[in-house]
Amino acid sequence: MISFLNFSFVFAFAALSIPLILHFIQSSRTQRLPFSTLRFLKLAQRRSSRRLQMENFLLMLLRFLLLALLVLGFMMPIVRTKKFGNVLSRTARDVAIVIDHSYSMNYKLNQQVVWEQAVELATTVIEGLGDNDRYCVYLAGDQVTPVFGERMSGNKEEAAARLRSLPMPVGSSQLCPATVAGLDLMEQDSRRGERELHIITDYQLLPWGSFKQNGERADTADDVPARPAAAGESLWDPSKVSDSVTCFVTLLGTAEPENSATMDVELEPRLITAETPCQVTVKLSRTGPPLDSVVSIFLDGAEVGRQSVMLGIDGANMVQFALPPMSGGVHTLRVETPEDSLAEDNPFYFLIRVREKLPVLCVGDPDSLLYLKAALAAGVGGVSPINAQAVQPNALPGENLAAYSCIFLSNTINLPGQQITQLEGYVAAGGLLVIFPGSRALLSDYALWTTLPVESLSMIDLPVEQRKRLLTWDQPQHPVLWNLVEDGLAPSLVIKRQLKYEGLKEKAGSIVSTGSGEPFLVARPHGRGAVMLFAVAADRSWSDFPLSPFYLPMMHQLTQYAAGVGANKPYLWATDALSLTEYLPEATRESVLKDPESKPVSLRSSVGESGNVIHAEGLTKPGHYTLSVTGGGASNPALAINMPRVESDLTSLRPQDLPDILGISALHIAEGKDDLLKKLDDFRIGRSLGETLLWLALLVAIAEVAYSNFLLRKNSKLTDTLKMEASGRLKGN
Amino acid sequence: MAKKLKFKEPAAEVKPREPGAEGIKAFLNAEQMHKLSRVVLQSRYVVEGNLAGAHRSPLKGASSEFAEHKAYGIGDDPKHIDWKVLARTERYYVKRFEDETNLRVYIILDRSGSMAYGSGDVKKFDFACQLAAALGYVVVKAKDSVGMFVFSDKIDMRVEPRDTLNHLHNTLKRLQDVKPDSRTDTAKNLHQIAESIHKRALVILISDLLDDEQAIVQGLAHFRKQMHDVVVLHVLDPVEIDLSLKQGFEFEDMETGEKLTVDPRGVARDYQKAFGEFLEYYRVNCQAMKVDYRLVKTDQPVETYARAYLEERRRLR
Repeated sequence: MISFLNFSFVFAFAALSIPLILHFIQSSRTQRLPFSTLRFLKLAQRRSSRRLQMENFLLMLLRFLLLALLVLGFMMPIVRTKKFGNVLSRTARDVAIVIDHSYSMNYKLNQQVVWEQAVELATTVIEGLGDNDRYCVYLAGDQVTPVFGERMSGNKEEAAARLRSLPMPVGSSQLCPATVAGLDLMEQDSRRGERELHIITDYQLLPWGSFKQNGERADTADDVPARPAAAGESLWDPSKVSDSVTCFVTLLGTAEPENSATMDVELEPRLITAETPCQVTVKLSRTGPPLDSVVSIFLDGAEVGRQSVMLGIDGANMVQFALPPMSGGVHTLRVETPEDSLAEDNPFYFLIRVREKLPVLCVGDPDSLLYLKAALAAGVGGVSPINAQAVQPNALPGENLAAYSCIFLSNTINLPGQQITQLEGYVAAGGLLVIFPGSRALLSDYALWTTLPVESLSMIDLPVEQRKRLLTWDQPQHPVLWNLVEDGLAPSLVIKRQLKYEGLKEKAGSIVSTGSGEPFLVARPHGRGAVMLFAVAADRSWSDFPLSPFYLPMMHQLTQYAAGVGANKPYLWATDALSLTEYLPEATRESVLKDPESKPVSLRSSVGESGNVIHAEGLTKPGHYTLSVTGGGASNPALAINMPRVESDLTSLRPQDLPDILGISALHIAEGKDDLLKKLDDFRIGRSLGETLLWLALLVAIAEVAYSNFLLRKNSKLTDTLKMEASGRLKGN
Repeated sequence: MAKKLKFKEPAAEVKPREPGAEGIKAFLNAEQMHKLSRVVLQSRYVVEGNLAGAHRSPLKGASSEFAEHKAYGIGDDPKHIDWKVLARTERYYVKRFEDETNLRVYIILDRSGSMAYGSGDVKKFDFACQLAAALGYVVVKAKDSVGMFVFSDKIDMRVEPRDTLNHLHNTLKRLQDVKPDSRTDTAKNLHQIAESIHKRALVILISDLLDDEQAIVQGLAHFRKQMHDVVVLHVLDPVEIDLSLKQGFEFEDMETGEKLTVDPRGVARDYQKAFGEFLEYYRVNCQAMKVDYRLVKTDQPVETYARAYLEERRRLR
C-alpha cells in the first residue's frame, strides 16, 4: 500500500507535459533554411528514421522519467508494510512490552538513567497506539511482574502514570520468562490483527542467557552466561512464536559500558575473636577498558584502609586489607569502589562478628571429660580463647544451648528422648554437636538419635596385634584438619575398642579414618549445623587418642569450626523475603528490624514445623540493617544487604547476534528511542521513498545529460575524413 | 511561422574589390590578378588552335621539332624530302615536324538555383564566377583563348573564345548580370555544348553537380569522346558536405521549393555517408574517363585555390 505525505504535489505531474510542450513550441518556431538540395537530407532521414525514433524515444523516456521521479519524490510516497490490513479492517494491534528490570538498567549515561529512558520509551510506544490497539507490560526482573495485570489493556491514559511510578530496578533479570509471558497473553487473548513484541533493555549480554534453547546452554566463557532456569521459566522455542508477531528489540544506553564493582569479600580467619587482627580479601570485577582505581574500606563508618588497584579488561582483581583488632560484638564494614555510571554496585556491605571467647559446653561425668577439658583450656600464654563449661548429663535441660557454639557429649549418648530432641534442635539451628562414645552407652541408645551420620553401628574390641592404627585424612581440606595437615605427621593410635559403622547416611562423610579404612571421625550436616561422631572415647578407656599430639589441636579446630559452621554469612544479597529465624535466631515477634534508612522492615510470623518462623520482607535496600530484639531496646547491626553482583557484569551484546539468539525472522533491532520510533513508523506507517526517488532522479538526470552529449558528440565531419588535397584532388579510399 | 534565415558560418576571406567595378575588376582585385599572372593553364592533351602557340597541336607544322619520316606521296611538298635518307636508301621520304598552336579554353558555368546557396558571405555561384574569372585571366595572360558557357536548364550565355583581355573583360561584364535562380539540367546542356565545340579544347565545368550524376557523367564522356581535355571543378559549400548545423530547420529546396523539417544533428551521420557516396561516384567515374575532377570548397580564397590547382597541373603534365 502506498500513500503520500505531500499529496497536494500531485498537480506537479502536469510538468510531465513540459517536454511535449517544448517539442511543439520548437516545432512551430522552426526556422526556414534555403538549402541547395533536399536529396541527401531525405535519404539520410530515411536511413536514420528508425535510429532517430529510438534515440528520441529514449531521450523522451528519460525526461519523462526524470520529471516523474522529481514529482513523486516531492510527493513523499510512503510504502506501507501493513500488507492488506487497511483493506480488511483488521488493523487492531496487540502490543506486549517487556522491560528489563535489572539494576544494570540504572546505568547513568549523560546524566540520564537508562531505566528512565526505558520507561519513557515504553510510554511513547503505548501513547502511539491507536484506539483499537491493546497492550500489556511485563517487568523482567528476578520474577516476571505484569504491570497492568494479566490482561491486555486498552486504557492509554493510565499507562504513563503507572509506568513512571514503577520502582527502580534492584535485582537481576532474565528476559525470556517475561517475553514468554507477554507472548502467551497475546496468544490467549487473541484477536485478528497485528502483534508486536517490544523488548526494551540495555546492551548487557546477561539477560539474554535464558533464550538459549534446549541443548544450547553456554559452556564457554565467551558465550551468553547461562543460569539455571528459574521456577516457571520455560525454554525458548522460536517455532512456537506466531507468524503474526513482529519483535522489536530496543537497546538503550551505550554499547561500551564501563563498570567497577566489588563482587565478594572473604574474611581470614573466619572466626574472629576480640583484639586479634584479621584480613579481608576483596574480589573486584571490571567491565570496560583498564582502569587505575582506588578501593577504600570503612569499619564502623570510619575509613581504615585504601589501596589502588589496576583493574584489567573484564578481568577480576583482588585486593587485601588488614583490619585492626576489634572489640567483641558485631562491626559494620563497607568496601567502596570509585563512583562510576552504575552506582548501585560501588559499595559492598558486610558484617564481622567478633567473639570475646568461644562458649563450649561439655556434657559428661568428670572422668570422661578430664582430657577434653584440659585440651580446651590450653591456650597461648595460658589464656584459652575457648570458654569451656562442663556439666553433668542430668544438668543438661537447664542449659541455654543456643549460647554455645559447640557441645561435646562424652560417654553421654544415653540421654532421654526430650534432651535428644533439644540437642537436635540445637544442631538444626546452627550448632555443632561432637559425640564421643563410651562404655556406658548401649548400642540401642544410638538408635534413638536420628541425626547421627551412620545407619547402624557396633562396638568391637580389637586384638592386641591390631590395636596400632595409622590415621589417614579422608578430607584434608576440611577445616577440622587445617592445622593438622601442615604438620606432615603420620598419626598413629593404639585403639583397644571402637565403634564400627555399617554404612553412612546421606550427606554424611568420613573426615578421618583408621588405616584399615574404617571411619574414625564422621560428620553429617543437619539443618544449619552438623553432627560429628568419633569412633573412640574422649578418655583413655578405649584408645590413647587423648594422649596423641593432635588431640588438643583437633579439639580446638572443632570449636573454631563450630563457631563458623553455623555462623551467618557476612552479607546477604538483596531479596524480597528472608527467614529471620534462620539467620537471626535471636529475633522474636517483638523484634524491630530497621533498614539502612532506619525505616522498620516488615516482619511476618508464621508457624512452621519447628515452631514460629519470622520472615522479613522487602530487604532490597543495600546497606546495614539493625535489629532491636526487644523492640524498644538497643539496636545492633544484624544484616548486611548487597545488590546481586551478577548484574555488575556489563559485557555487551552484539546486536547482530540477536537474530541467532532469538531465532525469529521478523525481528527489528533499534539502538535508541529515535531508531525505534523510525522503525515503528516504517513498520506501522511505511517507509518514505522521497529521498530514494530524488536520488534516482539525480541519476536519471545524469544519464540524460550523458546520453544527450553522446548523441551530439558522435557526429564527425566528412571533410575531416575526405582525403582531399589543396588542389581539390580526392584520393580514393 | 517559418522565416528565412541567413545562416552565418566562417567563410572564405573576401578580397575587397573596387566598388562599382565592372568586368574583370568586379571579380578580381589587383592583388589577385598579380598573383595569378605568374601561373599558366596547361592542357594535358593536344589541342587544336587557330594560332601558333605554346601548346601541342595534332597537326604537323613548321616548327623545328622533328616528328617523323613519311614516304613521299602526291601532294607532298618536294622541299620536305630528306635528301640524306634518299642518298642512303634511294627512297623518297619527307620529314615531318610537330605543330604548336594556341589553347582554346571553354569555361562552362552552372547558374542553377542550388548555386545560390552559401552558408557564409560567399555563395557558390559568386565563388564559381570568381574562379571562372581567375582561370580566364590566366588563360588570356598566356595568349590563349577563353570562351564561356553559362547554363541552367538551358544554355543562357555563350561566348566564343578569344585571346584578348578585352574579350575576357566583356565576357565577365555580361556575367555580372547573371543570377543563379533557375532549375538545372546539366546533362542536356553538356551534350549541347559538346556538340558545339568542334576542335579539341580544354573544357572546364564549374558546377555543384547537384543533378542526375549518371547523366552528368555521360555528358562529360561526350566531351572526352571528342578528345577534349575536361576539368570538373565541383564547387560545394562546407555545410553541404558536413551538414554541420546545430539546430533543427525547415529546409527549403532552392530549385524546387520543396520543404523538409529535419534535425541535422540526428541525420548528419547518414547525410555524410550519402554525400560521401555521391562524391565518390564522381571521383571514380571521372578518373575512369581521365577527367580532371576537383572538389572545391567555398571557404577558401579563390586565387589561393587557383594557384594550387594550376601549379599541380603544371607539375603533372
